[in-house]
Amino acid sequence: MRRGLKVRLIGFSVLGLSAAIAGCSPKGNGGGTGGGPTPKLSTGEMSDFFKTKVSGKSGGRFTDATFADPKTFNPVLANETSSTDALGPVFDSLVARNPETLEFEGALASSWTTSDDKKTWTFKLRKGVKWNDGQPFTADDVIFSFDVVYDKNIASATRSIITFDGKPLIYTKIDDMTVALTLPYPIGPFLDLVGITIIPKHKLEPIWKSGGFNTAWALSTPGADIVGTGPFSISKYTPGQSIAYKRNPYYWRVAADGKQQPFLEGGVTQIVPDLNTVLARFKSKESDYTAVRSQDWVTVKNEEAAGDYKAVDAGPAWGFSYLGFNVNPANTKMPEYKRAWFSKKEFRQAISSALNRDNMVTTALRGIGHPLCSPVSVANKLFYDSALQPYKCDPAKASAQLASIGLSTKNAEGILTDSAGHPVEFTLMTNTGNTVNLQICTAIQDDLKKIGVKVIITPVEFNSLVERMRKTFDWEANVLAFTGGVEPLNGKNIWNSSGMAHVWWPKQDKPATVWEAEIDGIFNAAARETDEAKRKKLYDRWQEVIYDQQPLIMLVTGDSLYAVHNRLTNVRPNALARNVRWNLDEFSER
Amino acid sequence: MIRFIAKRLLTMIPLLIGISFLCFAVLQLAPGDYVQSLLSGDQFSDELRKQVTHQFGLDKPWPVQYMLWLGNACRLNFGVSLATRQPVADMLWERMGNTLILSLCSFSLAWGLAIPLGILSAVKRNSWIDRASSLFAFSGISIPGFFLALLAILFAQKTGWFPVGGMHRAYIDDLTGPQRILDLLHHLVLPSIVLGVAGCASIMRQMRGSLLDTLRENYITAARARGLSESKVVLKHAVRNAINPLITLFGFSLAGLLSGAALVENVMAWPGLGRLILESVQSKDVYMVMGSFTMGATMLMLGNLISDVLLAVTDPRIRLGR
Repeated sequence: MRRGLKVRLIGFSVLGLSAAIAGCSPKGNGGGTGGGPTPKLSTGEMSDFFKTKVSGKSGGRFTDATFADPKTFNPVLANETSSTDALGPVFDSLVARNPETLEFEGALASSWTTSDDKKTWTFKLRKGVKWNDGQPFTADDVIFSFDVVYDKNIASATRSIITFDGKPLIYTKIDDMTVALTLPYPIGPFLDLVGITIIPKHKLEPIWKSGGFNTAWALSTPGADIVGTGPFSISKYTPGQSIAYKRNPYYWRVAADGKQQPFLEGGVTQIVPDLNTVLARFKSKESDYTAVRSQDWVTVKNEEAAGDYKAVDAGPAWGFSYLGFNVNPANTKMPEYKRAWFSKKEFRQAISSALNRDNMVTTALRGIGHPLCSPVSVANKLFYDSALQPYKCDPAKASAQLASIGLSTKNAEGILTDSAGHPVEFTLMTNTGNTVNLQICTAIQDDLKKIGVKVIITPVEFNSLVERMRKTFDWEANVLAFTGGVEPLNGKNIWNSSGMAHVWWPKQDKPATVWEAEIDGIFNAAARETDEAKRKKLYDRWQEVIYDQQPLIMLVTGDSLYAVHNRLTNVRPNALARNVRWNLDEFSER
Repeated sequence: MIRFIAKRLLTMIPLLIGISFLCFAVLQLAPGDYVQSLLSGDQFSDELRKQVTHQFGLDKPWPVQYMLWLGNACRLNFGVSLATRQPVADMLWERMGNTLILSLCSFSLAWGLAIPLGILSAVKRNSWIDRASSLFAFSGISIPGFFLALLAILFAQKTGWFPVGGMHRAYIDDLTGPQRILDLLHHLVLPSIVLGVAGCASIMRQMRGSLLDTLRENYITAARARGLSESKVVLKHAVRNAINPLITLFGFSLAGLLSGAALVENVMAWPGLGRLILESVQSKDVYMVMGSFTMGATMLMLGNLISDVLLAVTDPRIRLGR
């Protein structure tokens, strides 16, 4: 869903914590495909398994929907949500952040310790974990997974995340059930970075050694060969139609009463590209749960009782939409005087003061959203700077600020002009097809007209917009949205002046302004700071700088909306997980 | 006749090369490339972008890329999809059956309904049948397919009579063989109607107009004067002469059999070729797009050839190859 409508960015989400829509099924037991007796693990074998707080009854199936076919079943090569969503229930990492508590929980590792110099992390692997083909999971699999990610011939997006100043981390097997990872220097949010997908050595090593890894586990691979440790395995993929899953009988999480998870026997994800159809299928019970767009929310909410489902507002989405101005000198098409305005803090502050964010929430987000004043989500109880006051809409203050930088005379059309007589106007780009962003642009246009600033809205096709932002730098102002996560360091690419996504002037050789230099310093320090309280202080300072300088003017964020049929229980859609089925192993029929 | 067909087949070759060159050039002119659209997120390093670009050979100048593609295509190797790294031909083949099932259904629905209705409304000109079918035809032509598809989805959801999109139910494995066929037919009804309506409407108008023209000819008056029964006059003399433009139309629509209907397939979640092609154009999966366009162009030219041959067969006044 929302294919390419947002610049996907912050946070390399751990598989399974990404966006999907999903859905419902006829009653009945048995996953359909796959035969043979189901192995049953004894209590002893499950002694080191993760104990959850839920309970459920065994059997049943789920049906949900996704917007596009996966592109690969190889989790190391999966780079976009249609593939990572499909593989979410199939693979695990060593540790994962619980999106509800925001705490790290052991996944394939049951516990971990750090050395006194904070450079070496030792992970104890969970005992009794097996791959879904019944082979035991050991330290060799972890070592192999790092081998593959660090292999220069393999197009893995994870490699740069676990490379520190050009140096890889050193990974060693202590014994069959223990792995040590040694960093070149202490890394604060290391657990956020170490979420690489663990893949089976016994299945993939021969392929890797023969040089075929980049085409391994393509879509034509039979489901039985795609071996993971997650709650479900792929039983059948039908191009353009569906991905069928069946229960992994060796999964490593057990319910409060000792019953092994997942509860459901299997499920089917159907591929439905049109969001109207997705909603219609949900309403006709052809799918169990779905994400809901803000424009559909009122009708979905009204039909709640009649449709026997629950509409869930999971709170503000972790991310932000922004209005940004281009100050990159490489943009030679933009007149120099515009760059001069955009570079002035007072100009950006004035624009921000003129904006009525509450109105944006009402018009663009149908009232289901929140005005923003920080790139960190309000829901981020670890790092949100609660000292920040919401921006107030104050056109008089905006005009005064503009006057303070010499923009006070208006021309015959009522548009402000600078001392040389240039009217204060700019083109505002956003991506075509994204109605929310387009409505935000219209709101901005209206608000700025009131203070005599003319905005020309130009919707541009997404690929073209990305090319302008990354290559040609041919743009004046834009409105886009970024997705966010818990750890602000994951947004380093946006906020560091050398970052590729440093919207207003990417890849600077050295920071152009004092405050950009300060932010660079903050991120550098935060990366090495292992004390979370001290890191919070650093990030507070960063948020204050952004709040004041407004290189990206924070706008609004919508709520994450979902609907779930009452047939299933333990379904808890989560805004951070950006997914209904992040806890698919806990889903159960009523 | 055989010489004519051979000649036509030969002229297809330069035409295909020209079309493929134009397609390739247009793809290159559009901003961005596959790697950019794949790795637009900021967690991806420049190093990774370069590596992927190199692996796909997208770092070569595009005329070189085109020549490489053309060389392979001449040996019927249409390359590998950038998105899935699977052979383009295999991917097209996987979806071809689904598209063919749907388009054959809507095709037969359209022609089966349009020809008799067209004849009827021409013969009973200005009667209520004619007016009703004209109303149907004009609305059929003017309502966009995707909108009709949305209406069909709404209809299916509100009434519950038909499945809401898709080709099979989720748990197809629960069904026995004959049940699966019934399930497929059940899923086929709405998309066939949606796709059939527009085609039906235009064929019907064509048939009516052409037949009305023919009915004004002197030889029809002569036939009537000779005392032939009205049905003989219409079916044997008039329709046979009026059907020529429809045969040309038939050839064109043959080409449509495999091109799929991207928008309707999207809305109705039909796993056809149109959707695959649309997705590959959006993500700029160059070889996938080239493969499907080449197939589409070939089908169009073959459809034209077939209609020309059919014309010669049905109309003795036309002699091919002269």
